[in-house]
Amino acid sequence: MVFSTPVFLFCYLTLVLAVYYLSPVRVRNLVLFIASLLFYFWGEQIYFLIMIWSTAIDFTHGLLVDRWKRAGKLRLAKGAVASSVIMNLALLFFFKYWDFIAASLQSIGISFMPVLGIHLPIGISFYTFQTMSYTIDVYRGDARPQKSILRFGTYVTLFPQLIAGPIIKYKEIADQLEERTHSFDRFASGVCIFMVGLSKKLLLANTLGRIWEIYKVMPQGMSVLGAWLGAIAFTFQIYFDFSGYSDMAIGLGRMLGFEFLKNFNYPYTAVSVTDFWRRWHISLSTWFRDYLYIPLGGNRVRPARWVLNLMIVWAVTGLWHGASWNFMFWGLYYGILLVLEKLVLGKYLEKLPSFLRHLLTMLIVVVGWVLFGLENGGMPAYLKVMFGGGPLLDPGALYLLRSYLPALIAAAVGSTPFVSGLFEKIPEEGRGFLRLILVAGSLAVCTAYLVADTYNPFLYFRF
Amino acid sequence: MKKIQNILITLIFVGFIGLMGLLTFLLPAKRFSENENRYLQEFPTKITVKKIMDGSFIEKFSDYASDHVPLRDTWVHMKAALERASGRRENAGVLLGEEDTLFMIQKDPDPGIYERNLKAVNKLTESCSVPVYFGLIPTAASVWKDRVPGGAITADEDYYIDLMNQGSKATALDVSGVLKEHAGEYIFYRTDHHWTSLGALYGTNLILEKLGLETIDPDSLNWTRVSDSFYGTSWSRSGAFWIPPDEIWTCVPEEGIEFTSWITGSPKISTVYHPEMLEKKDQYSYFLGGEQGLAVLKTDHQGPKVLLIRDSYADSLSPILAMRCSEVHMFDMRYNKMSVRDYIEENEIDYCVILYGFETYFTGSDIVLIGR
Repeated sequence: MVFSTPVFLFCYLTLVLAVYYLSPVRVRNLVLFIASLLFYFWGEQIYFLIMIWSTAIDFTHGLLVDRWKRAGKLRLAKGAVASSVIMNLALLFFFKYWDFIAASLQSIGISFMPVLGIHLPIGISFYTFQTMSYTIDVYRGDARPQKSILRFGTYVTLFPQLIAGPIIKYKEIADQLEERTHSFDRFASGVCIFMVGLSKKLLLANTLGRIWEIYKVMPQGMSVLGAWLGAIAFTFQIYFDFSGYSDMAIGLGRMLGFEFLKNFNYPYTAVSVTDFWRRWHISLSTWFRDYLYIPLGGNRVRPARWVLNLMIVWAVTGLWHGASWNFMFWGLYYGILLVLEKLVLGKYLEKLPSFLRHLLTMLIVVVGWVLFGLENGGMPAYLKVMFGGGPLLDPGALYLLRSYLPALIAAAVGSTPFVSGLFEKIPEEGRGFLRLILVAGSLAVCTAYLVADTYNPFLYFRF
Repeated sequence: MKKIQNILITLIFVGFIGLMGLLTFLLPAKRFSENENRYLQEFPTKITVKKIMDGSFIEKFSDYASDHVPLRDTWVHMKAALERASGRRENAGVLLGEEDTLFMIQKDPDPGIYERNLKAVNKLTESCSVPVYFGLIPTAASVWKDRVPGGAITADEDYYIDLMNQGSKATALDVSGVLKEHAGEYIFYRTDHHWTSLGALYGTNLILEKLGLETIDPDSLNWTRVSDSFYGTSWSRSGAFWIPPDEIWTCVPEEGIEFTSWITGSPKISTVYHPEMLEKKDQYSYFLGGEQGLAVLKTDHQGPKVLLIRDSYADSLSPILAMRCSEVHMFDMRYNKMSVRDYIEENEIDYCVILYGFETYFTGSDIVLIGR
């Protein structure tokens, strides 16, 4: 179920909130668990069994790791961690990467793996990562093992974050699974964040996405302006879509008494690539840092090994985003840039005025998104047009620029802390009142966009 | 203070989504959306394990929830107004042009479809015993270019129509050229993709000219306005509620035309004009009453028997064409799978005219049946 649909917002969420708050506190995890399974079943039907399987594996492995660790059988405990990791990765590998690897091998003439046409169960990249982090944390002593499968199941399936993150590590919400506070203040702040997220998704991401729709197929006569417009629109689309989803997840979490960590911190204000990755999809970068980069030795190794570590981490990060070569290249692109920045360019870059560093970073990011967004190797041709390989302007691009200029400006301003800074300057009483107006207004506006999306005039038989 | 505000925010949010959710199911279900011209999803009452496991129940339930959002049309209108307010001159695939004119955006068509269609046209032309004429009607966006928002991205219809005319073995009818000569007149509806009766008259004259028949002087006809409240499909799709309605005119009396309609699937004598349709949203169905696989107009005139292979653009054209013909037969390939060639033989047709609007021809998959 997608958050920005009438069936989620008006039917599912209403029902879940009603049942949740009418239930006694001690059964609320059960309510959430069932509600979350329904949520997943709604979109994936039978594939919800995979999620249950993943839950069961990690629940039992967590208990085993804990038991053997306490009994001093460290090798067995380690083995249990390995077994959990292997089982999770095997699931992920099969459903997400089998066809990709099979097709890649076949293209070079190796055909022992058939292409199976496997359905990718939504959210599998998220929940396998979450459950893996649990057993590892139990082994490391960073988390206490969860004795209740219901609580653990609630954690894994928790619907706000199930299909698009953020990737919540078990240790971050272990306490909240046992006890969390519900209050009007918390609920209202959840509503505000949810509405910000929904507005980002419906008003900015979907709107600007229409420009990228036009340019990603590289229409005939695409001009330099058009190519840039498309790339910049996609840059904003992906940010507002993804961070909008994270905001909605955080907001929904708060409505249910949970507190998730921030997933984006104004990434497009970054002044270096390192800075960008500290601000973009934070829950993923910290996951890779904690469970891959550091175990590989991090930066406490010889420089050559460190570079290798980084390249592994970034190739995997790229591939995590999708089973396709362009994602891996996109990951490696950042790996290389980060190494360059840390080893060579960093000290020069620091001397530049910050707006230049910002501009340079954004250039890297925009080019990165072109690489990310074009799955069929269209990137070189697209970049060629961006950097002068086409007419400068075309009427279509000017039309789109004129049509979408207000949205582009809103997106640019919305990518900075400017608006929230302005909001903080308003005196407390005014702020509360404004918040009320904004919630009501954005509910109406978002509903209009939400409903219009489902409006499908059937014209065929009237021609 | 802050506490009260937070309680209010909670109440507004929960109250709004709760009310929307409840009303979705409590308000009586609508069967048909006139604005969208389609049947809405019915509430799925048959629940079986199979339907739940294969997702079909879920899909229908979701569609029901989407189709029955309270005040649905109002939300759609609101979105259209917001889009306009934020500087956009298009919404939902419709361009908001000058002079309150709406244009359907045309995507560049798929060669796989139009090349197959052209082959079918040529096959019919070569294999049937009567002369075949072939005309494609551009949309208003191609004729009223000065009203289209500058730079708007829509297919170059003339390019594709020329491509078809060059490749066709039938005698081409330059509908686009004729309409452009009359671009200053009310030849297309502003809120609908169809041509007006005046546009259809110019189309008729082009056909008559090619068939060697006497053309019709618009001024010699008795023009009657039958509606001033026609909101067409581009209006519905765009949600641009502020655009004023169109007028519908007729120029040919229905007396003297015997009209056999297959609208129910079997032949029935009907009227050419359907005033009852003017009470409904889809007023264009005033002409001939709506879609039908086969329709035949017979008159007492001395003149040829013409077969039109057509879409709904011919609904308003056929009564005018009938002024110079003894019979006008109309085939809509979407609902009529008979062999065109056999029909021509059996009914002693003199001329065959293939006449399609841009979008039907370039996206239609049933047109290939012409060649059978």
